[in-house]
Formats: sequence, C-alpha cells, structure tokens
Amino acid sequence: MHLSEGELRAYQDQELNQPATQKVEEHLASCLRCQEKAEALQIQARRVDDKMSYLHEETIEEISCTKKAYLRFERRILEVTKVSRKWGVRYDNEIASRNALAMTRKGKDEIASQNTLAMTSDGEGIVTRNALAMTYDEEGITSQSTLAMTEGGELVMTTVKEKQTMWKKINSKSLRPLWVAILIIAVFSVSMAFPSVRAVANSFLKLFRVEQIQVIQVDTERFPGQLESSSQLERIFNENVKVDIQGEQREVSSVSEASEITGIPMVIPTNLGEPYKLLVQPGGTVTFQVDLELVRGVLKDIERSDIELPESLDGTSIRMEFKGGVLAEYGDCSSSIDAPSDPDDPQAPSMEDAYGCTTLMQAHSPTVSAPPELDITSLGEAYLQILGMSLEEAESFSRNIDWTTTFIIPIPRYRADYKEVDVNGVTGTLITHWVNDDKGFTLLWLKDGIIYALSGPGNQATALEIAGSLK
Amino acid sequence: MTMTLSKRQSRTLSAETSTTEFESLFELHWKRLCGILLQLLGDPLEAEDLALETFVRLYQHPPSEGYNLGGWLYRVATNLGLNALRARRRRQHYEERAGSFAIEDNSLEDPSETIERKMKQDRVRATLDSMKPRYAQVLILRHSGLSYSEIGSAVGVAPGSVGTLLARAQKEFQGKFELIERKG
Repeated sequence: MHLSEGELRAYQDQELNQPATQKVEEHLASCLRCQEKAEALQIQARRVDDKMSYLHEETIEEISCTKKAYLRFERRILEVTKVSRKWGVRYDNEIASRNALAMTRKGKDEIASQNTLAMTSDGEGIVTRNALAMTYDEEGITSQSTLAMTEGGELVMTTVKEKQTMWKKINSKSLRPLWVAILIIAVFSVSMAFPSVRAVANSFLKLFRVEQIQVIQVDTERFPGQLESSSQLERIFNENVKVDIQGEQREVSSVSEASEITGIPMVIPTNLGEPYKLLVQPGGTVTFQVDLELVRGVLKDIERSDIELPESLDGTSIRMEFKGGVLAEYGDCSSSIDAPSDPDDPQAPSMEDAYGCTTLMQAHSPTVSAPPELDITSLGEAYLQILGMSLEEAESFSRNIDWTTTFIIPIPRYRADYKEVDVNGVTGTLITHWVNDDKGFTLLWLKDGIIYALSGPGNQATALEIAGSLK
Repeated sequence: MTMTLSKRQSRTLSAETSTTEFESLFELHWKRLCGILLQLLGDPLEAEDLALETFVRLYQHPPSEGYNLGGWLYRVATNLGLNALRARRRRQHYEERAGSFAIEDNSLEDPSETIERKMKQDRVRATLDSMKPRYAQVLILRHSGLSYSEIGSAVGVAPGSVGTLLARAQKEFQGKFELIERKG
C-alpha cells in the first residue's frame, strides 16, 4: 500500500504524530515510487510557498490596535441593530424601555426557540413586564406562551397552540408545492447567503404573473437585516395570507405519467441519463389580503417608513393560482433542495452534500388575479426600495419594466452573476454563483406558457450543454 | 449553552457571556484575522473592514453549540476576503490598482521594484481568486501559520484530511498561476 498525497503532505509539514511519522519514514525508506511522489510534492510546495511569500510583504503594522478596533466594532453594532442577541449587550442608559432578544438555533436554519423580554419603566420603577416564548418545529409555531406581570405584582401566564404559519409551511417537507420549489430552486439557491433576501422573495415575488424574467443585483450592505425578525411580517403571514394546496407531492415512475398528470409536454435532458426521481407537484392558490397598516408596520420594522404605499392598496385581495408541475432530480438532491446553502454559515449544508445534484423544474406559469385598480407599479417600486434601491433608482428601473408579467429575481451583487443566453430558441436567464467551493448555475426560461428552471453544479457551459440536450 | 474555541485557545463562552468576554474573544483573534485578510487583499482598510464584518456576523448569528469559534471566524473571514477579491476583479480594478499603488507609495523603494512587487502580488491574488474557494482558503490559512487542526476546524474537515486538501490546493495554484503568468 503506497502513501497518499495527503499523508506525504502532512509528513512534510510535520503535522503527523510520532507513530504516523515513523510509519511514513519506514515506508519511504523502501519505496522508490513514494520517494519520487514525495519529492515532486516537495518541489510543488516550494514553488507555491515562494509565490505565496509575495503576500507576506504586507505589513501588519498598518492595522489598528485591538482597542481602537473594538470601539469601531461597538459603534457598528449600535448602528446595525438596537436588539442584542446572545452576547447580552444592554442599552440601559436613561431609557424608558429596554429590550433584549435572544435566539437559539437548532440544526441548520430552524429556529429552535425564541425569547423576547421587554421592560418598561415610567421613572417610578418597572410597572409592566412581559415575556414571550415561542417554540417552532419544522411545520411552524407549535406553541406560544405569554407571561405578564400586572402592576399589583400578579403573574399571569397563558399558553396557546397556534396553527402553522405560511412562513413555515413553505419550508415544510410534506407540503412542498410547485411554486415553492420554483422559488427555492430559482431564487433561494442563488440568494443563498441572505435570509432577508429569501424573506423578500417569498413575500413579494409571487405576487406577479410570470411571463418574463428579470434579474437585479442586490447590494446586501443596503439590505435591511431586520426584515427576517419583523414581527409584523410574521403577522401578515399568519393573518393575511391563505395558502390552499390541492393535493400532495408524489413520485411517479415515468415521464409520460408525469406529463399526463400535469398536462405539461415534458422535456428531459438526454445527457444525464434517467432521472433519479420524478416528483409531481400539486397546484394550489395563494391569496393575500393586503392590510396596509401591517405592511407599513413591516416597513417601520426595517426602518424604511420613508417608502410610500398607495392608500388604495388597503383591503386589496391578490390571488395567485398555480397548476401542477414536475421536478426531475438527477443525483442525490435531498440536502440542496431542503435548504439553500450559506457560504458564510458553517452550519449550512454545502454543495458537497449534494454534489452532482441537478434538477429540472417544469411548470405552468402561475397566474395572478388582482383588482384592476391595484397600483402594481407603486408596489413594485416599494419592493425595489426594500431590496436596497433609492427611490430614484426604483422609479427609473420601474419605468422599463412591466410589473404585471415580470418575475424579478434578486441576486447578491458580488456572489452571483447573470447573463441572457439562448435556450431552445428563446431567451433564458443564466445565473451562476458560488456555493462554498463549487460553482453552481440556475438557468431559467419561459416557453409556451411553461416555466423551466434548471439548476445544478457547474458553469455556463455545463448549463447550456444540459439545456441543449433537452428532448 | 456553550461554544468552544479551538483546542489551542481552549475556553468557553456561555449564553450569558458579557461584553467583556466578547471583547476577549475579539482581542484573541483581531490581529490574526486582519493579517490573513491583509495578505489576501493587500489593503489594510479593507482588511480591517472585513475583519470587523466577521465579528459583527459572529455577534449577530453565532454558530450553534459546540462549534469551534476560531474555525468559524477564519472560515467566514476568508470567505469574505475571497468574495471581495472576486468583486474587485469584476470591477476590473486589477490593472488600475497596480498603477495606483505605485503612485501612492511614498517609500524610498525604487518605483520599478514597487511596481514589480505589486504585480507579483496581484498575480498571486488573481490566482487565488480563480481557484476553488476551499482550496484558496486552505492555502491562505496554511500560509498564515494555521495548523492542520485549525484549518480543519475552519473548513469543516478532519485534520487528517487537510494534507490531501492542501496538496490539491497547491497543485491547482501552480497550474492556475502559470496560466495567468503566460497570459501576462
């Protein structure tokens, strides 16, 4: 048995323990092949070291001292949020109220528990005290407890069971309808690093009829980080959004069966072999009854009260209808579809977990019905501003877009690229992005009322090669 | 809830951890993080900014219980650094940078040497930028003096697998560097 490159590298870097070192040395003494391999590795390492040493000339003296840097850190934290998480920073200098929020996470992106404590002081001491504890599981909020202290010092605790929120429903494994798959594959996989982008994508993108696709690059530094924790947004999903899914996702055994069920003239890549799974997604409807006060509450939560919304929006009912679709999976796609990767979150699943997973979603383009008086342009401009555009930028962008037919996909500016490409005679949008170590792509196009989303690891050439083999 | 630092800097933090303890963590890693980012970016201000961003992310979204905080910090910092390098390339600033550095440099060094040095550095950075991020990450961390154990924590592999990653990273670096050098 010869020595691996890894063993030799570790040996040369003196990173092996004594017994392992001895084993390597004994083997090297008698194996010419491994000696040659070791020598080649050493030469390669030396060459790389030489080049990397160019970077060592940078001088660390220019870096601020730790104390000064820590002050900057504190200032930045104060700018970013007035809510303390986990580390227990307190804001208690002559304030009438103080808030602390602690969140813990379980597993990947699931919130295992969330606790909010709010105290109010009227100068005479604390007169009211409230604690709220919520427990989530995969399907949504399962219980909520409220503890309140009255002025007389009496403690009252109430616990209620709550129904699933839409927020959680869309991530539910058991209820993963077509439109969720489209959003997850086409949008979430690209916006992987930004939960807030995911929140916006969920809450706004589905409102528009999809006939064409437009990508905008989001500058994440300008993106409101508070959106994810907005209690008003959660209320909107609980109170104003109704999801009706007609049936369950089911696996079918052949392309013809999938076509027959969904009415989609399916195409399949011929260069990937047989699909590992064919999943027929049920159709359904999503109805959103706009409560302007709550929407403005969200804007307030994200400190964007400057964004104006037309009064006529209040009470408007917007209904999206989606028919069934089919998701074809190639390779083991369980982890990549269940949760988008976050390159900056070491807890998040990496592309390696689903290496080789390619998916093709085919679905009827969703339709939206809304009252004719709906000011969809104003709504679109508000959406763009939430994504970080100034009012002027949003207005300018909005002038060149048909909001009633366009599917806007936000992608992080420095982590993903996009370009228009030709796909089977129509113009498609190719989004390429890095997921940890690997390049990934999402290719979207619309043809004859069907929306296609092809996603997987690889670059533009890979995407176009697969798309070119569709039959 | 507790979170652990790397073995070498073994200590724990609790959910009730005070700002003083966070400050200690900051003190422990600040210079080293900045050093890594400075090598990667060559710009002290940008390096500091990204190191601060790394701590802000730790503060806002700390990893789960038992996660190696040192490893987490190095991973996030190098990810941010590599993303910044990529962004820089997209803005097509590489060529301009070499020139501007030369003009801004007030040292007594021969200007031609300064330009030559900066060009070499830019070539190395362009090579790192063109590599698979994980390989680039491993290479940077190793050349910043991290042990296999620390690198393993940062990239999420066992220390025993770091040698393999490093060997592959060096091979990729060499190949890409030669390609970039040939292109001039």
